Amino acid sequence: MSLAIEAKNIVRSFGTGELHVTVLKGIDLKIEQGEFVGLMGKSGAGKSTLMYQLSLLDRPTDGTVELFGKATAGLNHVERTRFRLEHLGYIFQDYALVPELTAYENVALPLMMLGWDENRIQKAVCETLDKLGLPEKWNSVPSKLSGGQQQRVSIARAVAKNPEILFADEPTANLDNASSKDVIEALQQLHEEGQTIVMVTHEHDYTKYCNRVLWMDDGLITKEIEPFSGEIQ
Amino acid sequence: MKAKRGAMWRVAWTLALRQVQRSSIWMNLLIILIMVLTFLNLVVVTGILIGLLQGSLEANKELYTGNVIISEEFGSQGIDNTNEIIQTLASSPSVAVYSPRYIRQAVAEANYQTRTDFNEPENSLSLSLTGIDPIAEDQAIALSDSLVEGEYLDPDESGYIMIGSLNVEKYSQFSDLFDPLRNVEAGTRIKITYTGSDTPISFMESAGSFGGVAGGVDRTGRTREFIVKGIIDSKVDQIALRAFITKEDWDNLVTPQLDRASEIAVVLNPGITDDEYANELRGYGFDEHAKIQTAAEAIPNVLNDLILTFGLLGNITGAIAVVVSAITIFVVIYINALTRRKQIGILKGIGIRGGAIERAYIMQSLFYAVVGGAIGYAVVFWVLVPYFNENPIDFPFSDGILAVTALGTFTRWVILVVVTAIAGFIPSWLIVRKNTLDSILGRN
Repeated sequence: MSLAIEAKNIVRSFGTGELHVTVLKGIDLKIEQGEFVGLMGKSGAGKSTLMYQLSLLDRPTDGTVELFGKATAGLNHVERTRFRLEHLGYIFQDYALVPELTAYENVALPLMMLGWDENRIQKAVCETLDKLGLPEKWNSVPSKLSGGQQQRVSIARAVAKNPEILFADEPTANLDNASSKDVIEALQQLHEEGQTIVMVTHEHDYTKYCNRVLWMDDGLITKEIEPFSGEIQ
Repeated sequence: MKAKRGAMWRVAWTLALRQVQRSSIWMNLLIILIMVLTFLNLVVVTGILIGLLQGSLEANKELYTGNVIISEEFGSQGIDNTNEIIQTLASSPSVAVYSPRYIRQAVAEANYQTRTDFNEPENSLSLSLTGIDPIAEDQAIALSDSLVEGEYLDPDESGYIMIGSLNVEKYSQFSDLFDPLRNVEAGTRIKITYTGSDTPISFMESAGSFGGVAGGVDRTGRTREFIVKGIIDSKVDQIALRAFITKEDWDNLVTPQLDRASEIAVVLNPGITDDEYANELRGYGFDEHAKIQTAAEAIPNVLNDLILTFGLLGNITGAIAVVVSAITIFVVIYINALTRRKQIGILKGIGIRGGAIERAYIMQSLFYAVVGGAIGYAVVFWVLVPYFNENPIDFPFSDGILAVTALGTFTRWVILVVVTAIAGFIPSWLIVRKNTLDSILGRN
């Protein structure tokens, strides 16, 4: 196994003077390719902030992030955008689909940006939607889909291009239990196919399929806890 | 990089197309309506302002000068070689019709039969008495079409006169500037006194003589009574200020020393331009004794100045319309982009380049400008131009038409499209350039 992510002494501060706040206080982290890692902790612990640093959505105040052995500190914003497009996938807690685009078009958008031809896009989108249980919904706009279906479209958008790492920021936060279970099982299926996944979650139940669950407290990873071992409710 | 650029356009096209297709139809219609109105404001206001003056120029040509007008030199008393010129015009295949006019200053007086108090101001004014061949004049400038009351002069009758409407109180728009004849209508008897002063027409009309010589009038000349046969209301003041009698009556009242016309209106056959024929006449040396002008050259300078002024006003109005439309598009796109700031952040987050998102907004703006402009273009050329040609606006000194050209209208359309594209780009750029994570999290 080679390293997918290696973070060294990640510090992230906001504001100046009396308003200065340090959210991440020097985090070291290594994630192997193919791992499914859960990030847990109380609100304000720094889970999402850490994920933003790892996924190149933000720049750490100090420290370095290497993805597949490549240092990312020197990338400008255009190169970071291109890196995210080519190598990383994102799932946001509120789905973040473009409301005017159909499920198919939402999933196809990053593939168009990658410059894929129409046949390749069609094959990838249809296969992904089919795999995520949405074969008949490809022509529906998000407002015609349930929350769970929208989140599965969001997952399809993230994984259709076969990213090296998939980042999921509380993907079940806005879903009911049944839909949450569907989403977690979809992630598990991707993981079984070799997908590296980093997931932030509040719910211990949803760490069932994680290889590792890291507990964060006050800007530091304080311990590693056991993944949930029961039945997801 | 080529493939990437193509990819950006493809993504931009998809985003723009779907946003237009699937956003509120009423919002789309409203924005397009604003663009149509802006376009019409840009084209029609200028077009009407210019058309108003073009109508005046056309009226000057059709109702006064014909294609070419030969007139006496400033200060002279008629055209010296009138007969020679007339012979040339009569034998020229280029000339469809010509009409010599013989003009002298005279005094018209009405209600003299019922005037009982000689302390009251008399009902009289000075005017340009014009002797014409009624048939030739009607063929040249369709004078009979300008009748608003009574009948046209019969060349075989004597003792009848047609008066221009500006000389008659009932029709005059200048009654507050001078006293036109009161209580005059078709059938009224009026007295015409030729003062014998032989004041050249060039002095009278270049001075803008609006009559008003009542009191202090030299009435020592020959006087004759005429019956008003008709009243002429022309858009051209030179005509509306005159009074017309037959050439025979004119000869009897104004003893002709030589048969010198004051001006000759010439209407040409198709196949020769005004300039060509004017130059031909100059080539005969006629310009040594008379002023030879095309219809365009005979336009008063003030009208040319007005055309420039109105064009400038139209451009200013149009520029304001473009700015208003740009601000409208800016606000629409800005609000649209601002409300989608999170979504824009997420698109950037998943790897969609900011340039693709900006292009999408520019495409949307272009859609509104192109569609709005196209509808406006169709409205101008399929509805407004035919309508105004059929129903000109009745301005006091011309029939206002909509003066627009395809090229000029297209140019304005292009201006609108370019300005709109810029107005669409700036707000999207302002939103797209914000930090990706701040946009996603809604942070300022």
